[in-house]
Amino acid sequence: MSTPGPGPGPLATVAGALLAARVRSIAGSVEVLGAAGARSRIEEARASFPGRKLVLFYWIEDVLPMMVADVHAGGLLDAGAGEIRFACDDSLGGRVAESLLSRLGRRTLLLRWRRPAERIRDLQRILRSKEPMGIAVDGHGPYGRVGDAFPRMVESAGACAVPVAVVADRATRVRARALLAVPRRGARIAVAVGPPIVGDAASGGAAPFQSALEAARDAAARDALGAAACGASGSLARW
Amino acid sequence: MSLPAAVDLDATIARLAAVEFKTDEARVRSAKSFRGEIGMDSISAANLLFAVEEEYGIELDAEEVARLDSLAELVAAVGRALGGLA
Repeated sequence: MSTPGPGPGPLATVAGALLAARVRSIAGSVEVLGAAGARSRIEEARASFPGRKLVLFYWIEDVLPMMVADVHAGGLLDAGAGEIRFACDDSLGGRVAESLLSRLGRRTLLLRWRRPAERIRDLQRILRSKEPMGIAVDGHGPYGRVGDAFPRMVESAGACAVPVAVVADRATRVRARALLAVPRRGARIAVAVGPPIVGDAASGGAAPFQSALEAARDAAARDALGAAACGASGSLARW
Repeated sequence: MSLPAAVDLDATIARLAAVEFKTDEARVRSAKSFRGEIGMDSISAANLLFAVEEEYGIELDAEEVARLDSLAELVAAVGRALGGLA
């Protein structure tokens, strides 16, 4: 189910359908590491901060590996958290993601950024809702950097933000409208979930979110690629 | 329900805005542009509207909301949504 606004449009619909077919076709061939640990860490975060909105945050590059792992594991991120709504903006890339996620049976949440009036209304809807959500925090670029708006959103919603990294040892990186990593058949995909950051502590800006996500990515990379293939924070940008 | 007087509206909205913008009411009142002088962005605008709409049980027009940039404009918009000031 998507909300609100018109559908993704023909181009995004076709691209989303192709990506969904790709995700499904390779999901059975991959190995997924860390799924159980990811679920339990999300459950822990949820239990530690009851009543707070749960926000899973990740890089845009991790969305496709995440969806492959999700299909493979049968609901990678939902356990204990209820069904996640995945935020997609109204850019072409966001609309493709909306189409992809919908075809994979995931619920989406449309964030219309182009027009100020709609942006404010959509933000209001998000800030009021207690439904768990997932969001790529670098969707508009620069990639690999937490945008300024995200910490403010977490703070305003009093949310519990949980960093999630999903890394494939073999993937094709595509820079189209957004930076994508398309896992290859037979890839090893690792999932890492970092400690939660709660809304009250989010007033420190993007830095704690950036650090948490980089740490989660390094952990996932160590699992997926092996310790020797991974170094300092941000190493994944080089693979 | 009786309509709030203009002076009450102004005082209440100034207080709500000061809380949201983490500043004092005098600064809210003196700012000619919330965006330019206080740093209002989409998120703080959404939060302020949330607070105002809850306070008065109204829903402001989204197009109008996107253009609001000062206390006077916000007070006027709320007054119109309430159907006129007492």
